Amino acid sequence: MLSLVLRRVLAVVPALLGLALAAAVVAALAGPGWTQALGAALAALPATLALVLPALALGTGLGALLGVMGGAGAVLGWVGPAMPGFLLAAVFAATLAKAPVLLGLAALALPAAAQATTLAGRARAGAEDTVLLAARGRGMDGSALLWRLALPLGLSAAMGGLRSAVAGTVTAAVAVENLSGTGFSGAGRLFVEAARAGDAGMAVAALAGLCGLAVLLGALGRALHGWIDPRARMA
Amino acid sequence: MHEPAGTDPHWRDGPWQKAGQRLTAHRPAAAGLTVLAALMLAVAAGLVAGGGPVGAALAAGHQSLSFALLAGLGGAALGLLWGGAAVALGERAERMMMTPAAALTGLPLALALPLAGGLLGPERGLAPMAVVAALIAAPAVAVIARDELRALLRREFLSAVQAAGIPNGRRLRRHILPNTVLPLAAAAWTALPRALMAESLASLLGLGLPEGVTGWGTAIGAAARAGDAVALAGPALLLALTLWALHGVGDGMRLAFTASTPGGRR
Amino acid sequence: MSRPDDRAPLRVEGLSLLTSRDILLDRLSFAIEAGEVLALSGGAGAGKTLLLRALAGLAPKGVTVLGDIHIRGRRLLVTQDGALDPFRTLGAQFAELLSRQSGLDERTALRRAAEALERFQVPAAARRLALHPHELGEAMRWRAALALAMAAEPALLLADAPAAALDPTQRVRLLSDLAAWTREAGTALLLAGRPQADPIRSGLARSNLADRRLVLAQGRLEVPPAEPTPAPSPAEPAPSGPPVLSVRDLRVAFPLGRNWRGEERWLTVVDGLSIELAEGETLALLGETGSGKSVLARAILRLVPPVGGQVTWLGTDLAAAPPETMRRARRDLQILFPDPLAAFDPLMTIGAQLAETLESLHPSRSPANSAARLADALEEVGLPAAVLDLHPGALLPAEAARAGLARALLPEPRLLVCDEPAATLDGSERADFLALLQAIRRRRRLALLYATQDAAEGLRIGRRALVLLLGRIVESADSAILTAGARHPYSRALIAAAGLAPPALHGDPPSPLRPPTGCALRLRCPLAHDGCAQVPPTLDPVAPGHRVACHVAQDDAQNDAQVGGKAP
Repeated sequence: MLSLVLRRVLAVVPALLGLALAAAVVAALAGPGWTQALGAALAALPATLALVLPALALGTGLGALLGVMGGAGAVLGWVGPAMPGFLLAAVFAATLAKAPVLLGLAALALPAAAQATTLAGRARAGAEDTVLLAARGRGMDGSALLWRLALPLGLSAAMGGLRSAVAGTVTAAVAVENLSGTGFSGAGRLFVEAARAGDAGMAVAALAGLCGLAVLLGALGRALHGWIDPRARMA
Repeated sequence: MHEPAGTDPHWRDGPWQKAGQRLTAHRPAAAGLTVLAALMLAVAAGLVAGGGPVGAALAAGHQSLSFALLAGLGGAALGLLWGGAAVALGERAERMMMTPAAALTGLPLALALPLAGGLLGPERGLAPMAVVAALIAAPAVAVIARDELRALLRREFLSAVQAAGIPNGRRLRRHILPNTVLPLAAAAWTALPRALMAESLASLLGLGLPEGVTGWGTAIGAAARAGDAVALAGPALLLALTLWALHGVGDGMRLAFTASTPGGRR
Repeated sequence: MSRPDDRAPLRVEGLSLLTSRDILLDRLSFAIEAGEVLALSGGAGAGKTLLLRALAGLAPKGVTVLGDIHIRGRRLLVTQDGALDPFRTLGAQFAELLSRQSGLDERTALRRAAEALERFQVPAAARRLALHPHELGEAMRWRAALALAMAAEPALLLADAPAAALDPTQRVRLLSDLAAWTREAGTALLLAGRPQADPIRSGLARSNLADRRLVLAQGRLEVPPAEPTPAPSPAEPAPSGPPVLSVRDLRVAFPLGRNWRGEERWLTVVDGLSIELAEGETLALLGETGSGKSVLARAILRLVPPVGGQVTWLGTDLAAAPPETMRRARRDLQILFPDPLAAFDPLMTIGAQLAETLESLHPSRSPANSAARLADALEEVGLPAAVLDLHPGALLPAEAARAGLARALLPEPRLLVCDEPAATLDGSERADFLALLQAIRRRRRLALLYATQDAAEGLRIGRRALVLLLGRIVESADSAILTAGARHPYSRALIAAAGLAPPALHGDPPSPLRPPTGCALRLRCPLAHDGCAQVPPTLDPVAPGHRVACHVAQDDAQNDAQVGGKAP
C-alpha cells in the first residue's frame, strides 16, 4: 500500500512543480510581494483540505454503499445532477445559518455521494449476471455477497470516477468557504477575495494551490483505488 | 430463410430514427428534453409578461441560458476541433495534444472563470467571459471526441469500404463524417452543463456575468448572502431543473449514440 | 420406491419456466447419473443458460419455476464467462470456498487448490495461487474457474458453455480434462453449449467428451437426430497453370513505440510468408488465434500495409501499384469479413452500399443495368430484393453474411479471401452458408483463400491447406494428405481438436511479443528435444507436395526414406 501511494504521488510531482512554478511566475510578475502570496496560499490550504477530504471520503463511501444496495440509494443518484455543491451551499447558507461546518460538509459530500451512488449502482447492475452470478453459482449468499463482493465492486467503480469528483468538490469548497460567513478561511476564500480585489498574484497562487490539492487528492484516490481493486494497480 | 419484412413494424426505420427512438426510450433523456423545451417557452413567456419573483427568475434564466448556450457552443466547437485535430495529425501529435487535455479534466477548471472575472474588473464584457467559459468546457469534450473518433476509425466497415476501392476523400465524406455526427453530438452536449455550472458558480461569487446582468447565479448569490430563502427558491429550483435536464439528455445521448451501441444495431 | 433414478445427483421432472407472457421451457424431464457427462446444446436464445440457472436455484427475477428438481448433494454452477472474484488471489478464493463448504483450513485448502490446478495441466500450480484473476490469460482463467468448482467436490456441476471463446485446441483439451475428472470423482456434469462449439458429435467415435446428448429447441428437450456427416466434397483435379496470386516473403508488423533506449519495437504478425495460388484453386489457412491468418488475408488485399515482401496479382506487384491499378485489382480480389454486420456502414442501406461498390469498381455501367445487377446478386445468395432497401441494423446475422457475400461477388472477382466468414453463425445457418459459398465457388470457378480456426471446416473447403503458427507456415500439403496424416504436432493438434479429441499440446500459446528461441512450438510440443531450442526449423519437403517445418518430423521423414531405400 505504501509503495503504491508513493508511486502515485511521485507520478504527480512534475504536475505539482509545474503548478508551483506557474504560480510563482505570475505572482512575481504581478508585484514584489510574491513570496508572501505563495506563503499565504500554502498556509490556507490545510483549512480547505480539512473541508474537502472528509466530505469526499464520506460521500464516496456512503454513496457506493447506497449504490450497491439499490432502492432508496437510486433516488440520490437520480437527483444528483440537479444539486452541484455550490448550489447546495447557497441553499444551506440561506435557509439554515446554524452549524456552518456541518452544512458545508454536507454540501460537499452530497454531490460526491450522488456520483458514487450512480457509478456503484451501474457497476452492480453490470456485475449482476457476471461476477455476482458466478459467486452465487459457487454458493455465496446474501450478506457475504454484499460485503465481500458487491461493495468492493461499487467502491471500485466510485473510485474510478474520483478524479471528476475531486475537481467538483474542490470547486464547490470555494463556494462553501465564501458563503458560510466566517466559518472557514481557507484557500477558497483567499482566492475569491484576491480575485475581487484584482490581486492577480494572490489569486493565481491560491488557484494553483487548489489545483495542486486536486492533483494530490486524485493521486491518493488512485492509490486507494489500487488498494481496493488489484485491477487498478497496473501502470 | 426468414422474411426480413417480418412482424416488426419498425423494420423500415432508418438508423437515424432508431437512434432517436433509443434516446427517447431513456427516461431521463425524454424527461430532460421535455423540461428543456418547457423552460425555453417559460423563459420566453417570462420575458414578455415579466413582473413578480417568478418573472424575475425567468428573466435571470434568459441571461444564464444565453450565456451557457453561447459558451457551451464555443466550448463544444473548440473541444471537437481539439479532439479531431489530434486524431487527424497522427499519433505523436495526438499524444502531445491529448495528454494535457486529459490532465486538465482532473483540475477544478471552473475556478478559472471567477479568476478571469476578478482580473477583468467590474467593467468586464460578456465576450471574454464567454471565451473563458468555452475554454473551461473544451478539454472534456476533446477527450470524449478523441475516444469516439478512435473507436470509429477501428470499425470494420471502413475496411470493407477500402476493399471496395473507394477513394479516401469519398470514404471520409460518405462514410466517416456521417458516422461521427451522433457520437460527436453526444460529446459536444457535455459542454452545455459545464458552461452553465461555471457561469453560475462565478456569478454566485459575484465574479461571473458583468454587473447589471443578472443570471441565476447572481440572484442565488445575493439571496444566500442576504439569507433570503424565498428569493433563493425560484432561481435555485430553475437552475437545478436545468442542470438535471441537461445531464439527463447528455446521459441519454451517450447511451444511444456512442460506440458502445453502434448506430442501427438491433 | 427405489428406482435407480432416485440416487441420481440430478433428476428433473416436468420442469417448466414461465414469465408472465411466455413459456420459456416446457415440461422438461431428464436425469444425470453420478459420473455421467450430459451435453446440452441449442442455438442462441434456446434457454440453456436459463435452464442451468434454474437448476442452480438462481432463476432470474420474473421467471416462475414449475415442476420438480431433485438434487442430491452439492451443486455448483460455472457461469458462461467463468468469472472469478476480481479482488482476491486464486489461493484466497480456493481457501474461502473450501473453508465455507468443507471446513478445510487454509493449508489443506491451498494444497488441494494446487492439486486441482494440476489436474488441468497447469505448470507450477502452487505459484499461480498468488495471482489475481486479471493477471491470468483467458485459458488459464477458465482452468482456474473449473478447478475451483471441482475442488469443492460437487455432486452436480453445471457448466454453461465453458471456454466457448477459446481456440478449439485449448477448449477441447480443457473439456476433456474436466470430463475425465468428473467421471473419476463421480460428479454429474451438465455441459451446455452452442451447436457450433458442440462438445459431442455423433459419428466421431474418437470423441469421448460426453456420454449423452440432448438438444434444447423451442423450449423442449429432444434427442438429437443422427447428424449427417458432411458429404465429402467431390474430388477436384489439382488446378494447373501458372499462379494468379503469388505472395513472396510477406512481412506485416505493427510498431509498438520505442523502448527506454529509443529503439523501435515491432510486433511481427506475418513473418516472411510465401504463397502461390492458381486459377480456381482453394487454399485453407489454418491456425489458432494470433497465428496471423486474418492479418495475412487482409495484407493480401492491402487492407493492412505490409512492411516487406511482395503480393503479385496476375504479374502486377500490388505493393507498388498506383491507385488506378490497385482499383482494377480490387475487382478481382474481394473479401468476406468475420462479422458481416459490422462490415456494413450502419447509416447506408444495403442497396446503396452494394451500388457504391459496383460504381467504384465498374464505373462504366448504366444505372438500369446496375440495378438489375444488384437484384441478381441478392438472388444468387438467396436474399429477396427487398433487402436492398434495408439498413444493416435490420438484418439477422445469417442475412448479413449473405449480403456480405453478395457485395463481394458484385465486381465478379476471381479470388475470394474469406476471413472466418461464418464466425457469427452456428448450427444449420452456418452449414447452409458454407454450402452456398461452395456452390457459388464451383459455379464461378473462384479461387478461394479460406482462413479459419476450425481445421475440419478448412480441410473440407480447401483443396490444399497451410498451417500457420505465429506468422509462419509450419506445414503445407493437400487437405487429403493432412487429414490422413499431418506431420507437424501443431497441425495434428488442430485436427484433433476439430474432431473433439484432446490435442497433445500443453500450455498456452507463447506471446508474440516474446516468442521462444528456435521452434515457436517447442514449449508446448510433446516431441520437443534440446535441438528445437537452437535453430528455428525451415519449411522443407518431406514428401512430394508436402512441406513441414519441424525438426522431429523432418528427421522421421529422412529415416523413412533411408529405410525405404535399403529395403528392396
